[in-house]
Amino acid sequence: MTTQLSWQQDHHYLTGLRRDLLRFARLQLRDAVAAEDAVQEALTAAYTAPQQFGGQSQHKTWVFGILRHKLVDTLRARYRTINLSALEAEIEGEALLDDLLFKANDHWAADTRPRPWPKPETALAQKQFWLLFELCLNNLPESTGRVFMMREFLGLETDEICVELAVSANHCSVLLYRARLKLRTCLTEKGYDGEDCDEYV
Amino acid sequence: MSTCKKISRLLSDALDRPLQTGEWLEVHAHLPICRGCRGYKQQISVLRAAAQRVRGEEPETR
Ligand SMILES: [Zn+2]
Repeated sequence: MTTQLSWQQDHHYLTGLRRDLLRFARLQLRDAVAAEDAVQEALTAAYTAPQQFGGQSQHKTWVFGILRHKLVDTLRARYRTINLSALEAEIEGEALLDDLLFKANDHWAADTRPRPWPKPETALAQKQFWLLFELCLNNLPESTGRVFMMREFLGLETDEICVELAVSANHCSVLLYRARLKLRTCLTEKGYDGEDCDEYV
Repeated sequence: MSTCKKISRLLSDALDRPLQTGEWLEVHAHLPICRGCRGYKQQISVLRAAAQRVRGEEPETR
């Protein structure tokens, strides 16, 4: 199957692509204007690069790759190093969360024990999931959120993140752990149970 | 005895690096007897899948 329509002229595809790129950039940069700029630059770069593609999904991955590089550069310039005392404070503050989630013997407390969510393909099709996911990401403390996004959205390896931010490997993995724990707790507290929401995007 | 605090940390680590044999054994001895840690493992796998979707990739199907 060959498609004659080039992606620059496929408005339906472009609209969806732009929306996805913007969501991605907004989450990283937490700045709508900077996100617009980064997406615009990535799309411009994509326009001017001659490429052959088998299909839209391959093309989309490629454009996301361009944007990802831009975001890594922007974030690197923005955050040279993590403020270590702020980081310590963030980790200290986590004791409260532990008290909520774990009993004195460090096992899950019965009333807050994690219950399985729907399968990824189901959860990712729910509007409620995405609303809460974005909300909870924005609720993460600064350094925790930054490390999580560098790992999960920019796809950096933990080693690279540690070197980049000049924190120890242990700190990095603690921060990633806290980020995941906080995210799942936040989604749960905001009412995500995945059970009675058949609202599809 | 393994605590859920420790196991949940290892389950998170496993998304970022291969677990050592001892760690892996500890996790797999604990999971069958702990619903909470199984729930946690499933939830963080959904978070990982969401991140893959956000960065424009199709989540791995397992
Ligand atoms: Zn457990």
